[in-house]
Amino acid sequence: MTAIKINDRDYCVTKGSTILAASFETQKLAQEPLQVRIPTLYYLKGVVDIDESGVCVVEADGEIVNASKVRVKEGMEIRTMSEPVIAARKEALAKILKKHNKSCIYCFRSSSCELQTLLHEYGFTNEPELPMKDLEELDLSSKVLVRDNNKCIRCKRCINICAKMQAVSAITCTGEGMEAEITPSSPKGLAAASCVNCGQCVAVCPVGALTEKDQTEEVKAALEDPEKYVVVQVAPAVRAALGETYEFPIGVDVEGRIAEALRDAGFDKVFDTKFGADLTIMEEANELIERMNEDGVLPMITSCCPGWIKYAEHFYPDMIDNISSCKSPHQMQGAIIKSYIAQKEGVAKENIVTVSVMPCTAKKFEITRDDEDGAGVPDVDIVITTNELGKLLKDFEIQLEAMNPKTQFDDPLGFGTGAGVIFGTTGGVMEAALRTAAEMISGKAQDALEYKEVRGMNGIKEAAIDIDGKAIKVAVASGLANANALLTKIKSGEADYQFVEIMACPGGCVNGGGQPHQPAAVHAMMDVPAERAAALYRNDANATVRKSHENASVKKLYDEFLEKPGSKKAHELLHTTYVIR
Amino acid sequence: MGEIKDYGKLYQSDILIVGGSISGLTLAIKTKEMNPDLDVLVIDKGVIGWTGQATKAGNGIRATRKEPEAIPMAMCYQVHAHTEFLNDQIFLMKYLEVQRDNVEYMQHCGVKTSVDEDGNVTYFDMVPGMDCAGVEININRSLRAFALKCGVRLLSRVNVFELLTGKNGRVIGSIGFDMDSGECRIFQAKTVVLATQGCHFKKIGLEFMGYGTGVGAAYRAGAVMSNPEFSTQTDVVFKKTNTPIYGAFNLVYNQKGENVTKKYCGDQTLYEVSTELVMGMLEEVKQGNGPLWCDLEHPDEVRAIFGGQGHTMLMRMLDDKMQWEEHVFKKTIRSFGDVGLTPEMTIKMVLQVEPIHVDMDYKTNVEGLWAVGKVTGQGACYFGWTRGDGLGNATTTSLMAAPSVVAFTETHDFEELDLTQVAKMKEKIYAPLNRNTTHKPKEIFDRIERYIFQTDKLITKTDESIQSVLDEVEEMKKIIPELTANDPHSLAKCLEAADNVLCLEMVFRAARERKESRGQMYPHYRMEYPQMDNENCLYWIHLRQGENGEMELFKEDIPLWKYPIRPQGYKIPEGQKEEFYVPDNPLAPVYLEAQKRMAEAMQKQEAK
Amino acid sequence: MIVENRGQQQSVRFQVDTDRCCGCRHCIRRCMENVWHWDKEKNCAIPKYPDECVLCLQCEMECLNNVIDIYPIATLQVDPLEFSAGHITEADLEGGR
Repeated sequence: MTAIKINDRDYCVTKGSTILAASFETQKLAQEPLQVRIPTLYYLKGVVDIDESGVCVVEADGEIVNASKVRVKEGMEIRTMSEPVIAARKEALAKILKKHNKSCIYCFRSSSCELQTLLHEYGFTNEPELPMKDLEELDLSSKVLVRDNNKCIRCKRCINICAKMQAVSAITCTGEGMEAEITPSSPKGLAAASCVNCGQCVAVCPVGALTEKDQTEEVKAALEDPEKYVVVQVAPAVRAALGETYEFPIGVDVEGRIAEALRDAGFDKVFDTKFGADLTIMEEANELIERMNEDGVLPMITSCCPGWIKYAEHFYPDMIDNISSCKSPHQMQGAIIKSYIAQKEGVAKENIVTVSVMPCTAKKFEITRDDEDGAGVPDVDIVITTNELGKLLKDFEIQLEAMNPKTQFDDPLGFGTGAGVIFGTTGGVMEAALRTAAEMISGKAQDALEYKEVRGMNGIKEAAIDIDGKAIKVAVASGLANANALLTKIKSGEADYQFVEIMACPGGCVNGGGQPHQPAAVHAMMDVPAERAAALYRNDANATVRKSHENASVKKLYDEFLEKPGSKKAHELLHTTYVIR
Repeated sequence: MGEIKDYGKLYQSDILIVGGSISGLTLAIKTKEMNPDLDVLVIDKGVIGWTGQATKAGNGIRATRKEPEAIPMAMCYQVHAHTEFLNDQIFLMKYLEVQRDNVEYMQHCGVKTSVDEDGNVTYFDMVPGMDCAGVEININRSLRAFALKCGVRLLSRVNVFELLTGKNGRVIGSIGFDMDSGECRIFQAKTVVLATQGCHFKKIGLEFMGYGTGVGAAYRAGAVMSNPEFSTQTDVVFKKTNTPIYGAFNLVYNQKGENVTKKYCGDQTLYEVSTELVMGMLEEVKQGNGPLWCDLEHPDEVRAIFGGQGHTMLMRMLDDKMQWEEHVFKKTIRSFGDVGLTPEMTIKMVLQVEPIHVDMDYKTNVEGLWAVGKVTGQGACYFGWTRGDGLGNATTTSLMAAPSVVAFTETHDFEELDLTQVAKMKEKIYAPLNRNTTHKPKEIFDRIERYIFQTDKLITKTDESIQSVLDEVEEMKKIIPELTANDPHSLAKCLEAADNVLCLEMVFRAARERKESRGQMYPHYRMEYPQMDNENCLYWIHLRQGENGEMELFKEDIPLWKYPIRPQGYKIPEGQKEEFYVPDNPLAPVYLEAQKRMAEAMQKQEAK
Repeated sequence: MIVENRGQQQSVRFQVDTDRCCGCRHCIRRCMENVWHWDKEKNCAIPKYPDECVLCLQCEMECLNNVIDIYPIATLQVDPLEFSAGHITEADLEGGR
């Protein structure tokens, strides 16, 4: 431990840590944390560790230094708010502002922008928008996100995460400092680069340079169209995070509140993708067991993550046959909406608009793929992210805080099990599948319900699950760099799994590209995806039904409509194909 | 006649809490924790989490010390220092007990408080038996977050003005409108709790922000109001800024250089603005020795405790309050210049009417209706709000109310709303929108504000001044039905104006009735009856709406024979017997001892 | 935008750089007195009821784009002691307005 002084108070911090890390360490102590706060702009734990913005500076023993670079020394005296330090930060911000087209009233990130927060704190009152002639055109090539280079502050978080965590490198950088150019790896725009649409770049962008494509106006138009029967469904991971757009504490499950809010918004039917997840398990467990019994291609790899699918199509085309043919839960649910529900409600499928609320940007691309139209019309018409839903509800002046947490979704297609809800976190699909597969394989009810071996935020998890004396070897990867490592292992023959779950986003969907933003300071002190995941596990633990095959509505769907998992009709509606890119 | 939804949007909940600041949110959290299956809805006319006086007032919060002798000590202090002998002492004892844990409960709810390295709450010594801790200015934001986590529903921007009652007068709901759209909002609940603040007569300033509508609604539902004659509070303020000079009571000088406090109050050290001090200050100004000024160059220990050094040194303030104060200070200097060390001073008087009468469970006399927080300051027979501890009071009262609120809700069902009543209330509420008269609420508020400039109306009341206010009340009552509004804001103001006049009437009717002078912190003073009369005036004054809609007054003797602390020479009245100092009461010797020690301490003080 | 309130005791000026309002609505949620409202046409927040302001200045502090500047013009126009002493009269008050 090293003894230092921060603003005249004594603290003991971990030896060798940077001043910034020491500040985070002391902020966790009981006493007043504002005393030791050091602002950052580029810094994001694990993504950009050295903050060169010029904002992350302090006075250390009389000298102005970069707090994210310089390490603590015994007896060091640090001042975080002295006049020279404040002046230095203001200068750094002014420099960044010269290249930032500040149009907060039109920006999707207004109120969650890390630059805006700093400009507020440092009293900036006069920052004109950039002159029109200096503005670059927006990159609208992608179906999933918008790149506005006029807002880029050159933090390089996107570069780092795309290259290091996602092993894709669709976005690159040439040059240094504020003169650096951040561009896609293809001159034709992001869509032409091998971008897999995972949206991690959007998730980490501190400002509005990279945002998801805002389709809230399309949803509003559908709701206003008297001809349309508008159905909405909500993914598991959304309920663990939507509250954050309303400044709820992190990790609060707002499932019931969302149901009431969506009804108030005017949707004709309010469904829960938990149901679709249960349906996916039925089909996927069946497929796995078939492959295991009939010497099919193993390991079978999950297919519910469109970011992973596109990654495989670009980088692992020879493993496409390993991937399950199942559609993702919301696509399955969309197909059922446009067939089963259309029939039940007596509505023409052409008049139904399915809106999926997802934590995910890649799903905006997924719905435009081939073979995602089981009933002859697109399964899902519009995907909006958690952030977009927050914006939509606020535009409608709906107070999420006032909604009743006990509200239920419409049923059928609104009731899902605990197994369905844990899809939202890494290892959740695996655990849900095991709960059903175990009983399908053994032919009898199993005591085991929770497979804790596959839980947790580790990038790669492996386990051997004993089912009725047989060992099923499974692996779970989240984050594409981890997936890459795992797949390399599989290809080399080093590993021999039966079933593998891959999620593109590190931590799973709770950390998806469309999830609410939290400032870097929050990420530094708390594992946000883990808190959100905990909310899903609590939801599962309190659920009345926790195994997909025990979902009465799902059983009824098979009895009345689909016959059985893997049937011809099931294949028509609920399964899809892949392409080599 | 149709259905409810023809009149407005209906919200149903097991418990309805009107008012979403610290008191309402604390109660919501506590009730939800006691029974998570209950549906708890909090409504507020502002945005819950960011509005509320708790976010705009001094962020100290008091707790009773944990040692057993703290309660008798605090009792002795309160019963003497506040409004002598007016307290329901048994009630006060229970309150002080519950107030031991209120700050720790705030911590439990995720509120930042002043803490030591281990995260335990730190306090400093404030008044006998009670310690003061610091809490963050954004206390409501933290309470909001915790409430949401617990599953409480929070509905913002709705203002209610009337309570809905059932067959036997039980309160079963409420009605009002949305402050942005103006649309009607109707609430149906098993239990209704008012956490609406008192009535502070608009435009007093930053410290007191009560609108009176909760009081009015409760009054019209049949709730009893108590002790409104003790509503005046006086501060000494900077003339330049009209903001309080905390603790400057003994530092008042005239242009001749004489210390006004000493001149009129003798050698005693003042811890409050006494009536004598005000009379003295007024006399000096009358004689042309004004403007009066404050000697901040030579502060005394009272100034040190209540203002200046006391704050920063003793960690009562957390950084967010310091930042706010600095900002306000900078802007004030920009506008008015620095006040300097010898600033000109005057007084500011405010009326705080907090009269809803409640029992020890914070239940009113109306079935299904509770009231918590500052709106019961006087009505919790009478121990008044310890000056400077609005936060402690708000949290403690909610903790005291929660068990009975939950118990009632668990054992009662909804009662169907009476559509005729709903229609009538709605018409009454919206009436100002449909009038073609020209009176505006501002007239009423400005008129009342002028009373607040007058010491003879607020402090040194005379038979004449009391009557003049009551006469003006009658005049204003004629204007009320002619007030017009053209949007939700002005509509709310019209309704507030009506309830302000009602509360004003309560104050002066009660003041007229009490023919004595009594009280230090919220003194009731009559020029014609300048002495405290413990022979004839040991009663509580209650008011309520009579059968014919007129205000009626009735008295209740204070049962001092049940209480430990009594005036010297007190005789138990005929028909009653000694109930406290009896052999089998273990508290009897404790209180004898505490009073002895208090008397000794006071003698030592006087000897100095 | 400049908006003033000239009240009986307190007078306040609001200087609001509405062009730079970013729509965070922090001013609206902070205000206990209902001063601030969202103007749908102008697409910004405005001090619609300046009469109600009690000078807490929290709207100003929380404004994300530092767009609000509140200027107290006077906070004590009627000294209660002078009024009670008869040095100021009702007539003076009427005249002043």
